Amino acid sequence: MNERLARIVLGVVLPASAAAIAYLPYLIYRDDLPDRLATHFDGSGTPDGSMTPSMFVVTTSVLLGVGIVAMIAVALTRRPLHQVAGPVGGAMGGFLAGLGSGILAVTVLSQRDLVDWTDASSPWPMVLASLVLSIAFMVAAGLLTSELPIRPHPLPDPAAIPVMALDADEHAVWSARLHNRWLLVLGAGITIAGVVYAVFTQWWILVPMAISGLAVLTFTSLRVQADGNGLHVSYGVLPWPRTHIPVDQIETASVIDIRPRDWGGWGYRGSLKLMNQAAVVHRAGPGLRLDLTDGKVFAVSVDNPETPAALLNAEVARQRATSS
Amino acid sequence: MLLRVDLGSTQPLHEQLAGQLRAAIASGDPAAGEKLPPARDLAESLGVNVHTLLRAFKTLRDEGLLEVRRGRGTIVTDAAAQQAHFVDLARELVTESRRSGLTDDEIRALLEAQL
Repeated sequence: MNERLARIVLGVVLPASAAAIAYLPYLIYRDDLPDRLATHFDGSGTPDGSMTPSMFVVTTSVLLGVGIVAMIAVALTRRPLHQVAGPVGGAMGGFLAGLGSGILAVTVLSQRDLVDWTDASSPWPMVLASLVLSIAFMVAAGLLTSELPIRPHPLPDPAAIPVMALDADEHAVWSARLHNRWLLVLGAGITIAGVVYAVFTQWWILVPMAISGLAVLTFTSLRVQADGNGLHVSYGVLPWPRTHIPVDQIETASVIDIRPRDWGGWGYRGSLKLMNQAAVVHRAGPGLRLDLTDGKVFAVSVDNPETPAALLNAEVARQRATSS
Repeated sequence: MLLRVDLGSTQPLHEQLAGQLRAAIASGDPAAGEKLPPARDLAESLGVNVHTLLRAFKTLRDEGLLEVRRGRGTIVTDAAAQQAHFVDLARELVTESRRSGLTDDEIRALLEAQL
C-alpha cells in the first residue's frame, strides 16, 4: 500500500467507519430505547448503574473523538513520525475509536426494545464484541501507521561496530543469560496479589492478574545466542515466545547504551512488524543493536555486547562473501 | 560466553571445545552457579556433533569445573574459576614436560616430590 492511500484510509476511512458504527444504530433505534440505558454491571452481570441515552452518547463520543483526532493527527503529520510516539499514537487512536463506537453500538443494539434498564442481560457478550472491534481498529490503524515514514534512528557510531576475525573453517557461538531479580519480585507479587484478591472477591480477577504476572515472570530471565544463523532471544523457561533474526537480514551489529526511555520502557518494546523497531529492554546499560537490511532496528540488553556484535558482523561478512 | 572451533585444525574438536570452555570459565563468564546453554543448541550452532560437545562437558566435569544436576542442567561449580586456573597450569606442566622428553611416570614423581 502506498503512503498516500495509507494516509487516506487512516485519516478518513477508519474515522468515518468508527463514527458510522457508533451512530448509525443509535440514529435508527433511538425511539426504541428505554428512558435509561444500563451502563454499569456488577461482577455477576446484573446491571447496577444507568444513564440517559443522550448522556451515554456524549460519554462514548469522548472516547471515539479522542481516537478519531489521534488517527487524523497521525495521518496529517507530514514530517517523519517519532519512532515510539507515532506508531503508538496511531494504534491507540484506532483502539479508542473502536472502543467508543463498539460500546455505543452494542449497548444500543442489545438494549433496544427493553422496557426498563434493570432488565438488561449479562454484558459479557457486549464487552467481548467491543473489545474485538477495538482490537481490529487498533491493528488496522497500527498497520496503516507503519506505512508512513518514521524518523530514522541515527546510524550506529562506526567505532561501535566491531568485527571478529573468523577463518573459513571456524565456527563460533556466543551465549549469555540475563536475570533481573526485581522483575522476579514484581511478577511473583502480582501473581500472589491476584490469587489473594481472587480468593476474597471474584475469582475471575485471577485471570488478568495471572496473565500479567506470568508476562512479567517471562521477562525475568533471558537467553541470548549469536551464531552463524543470526541472533536468537528466548524468554523465561518456556520454548515460546522466541525471537530469531536470521543473519541474512542483518546489515550491521553494534554496541549501544540502552536507555529505557528511548525505547518506551522495560520489557519487549515496540514491534518489528508494526513499528519498524523493537527492543528487549532488561535494564538500563549496554546492549546489542542490530540494523536490519530493510532499515528496521532491533536492540537487546546484554553484558559485554562487543563479543556478539563482532561475531555477527563476521558472520554477515562471511554470508555476503559466499552469496556474491 | 564465546566458544569457537576450527574444523580445519588437527587438534580434536572435543579438545578445542574443552579448552574454550575452560578459558571461558577461568575468565568468569559463565560465572559460578550459572547454567550452561543446552548442549544441543551449542552443538548445532557450532556445526559439531552433540556427542563431541558432551565429551568436552564430561572432561570439565571430571576436572571439577562443571557439575550435572538432575533436572537443572549443567552448572558451573563454585570453585570453577579458581580450579580452571590450576587445571591450565597442570596441563601446561604436562605438555612442557612431555615435550622435553619426560615420561608420564617421571612427571608424576615430579609432582609427588613437590607435595
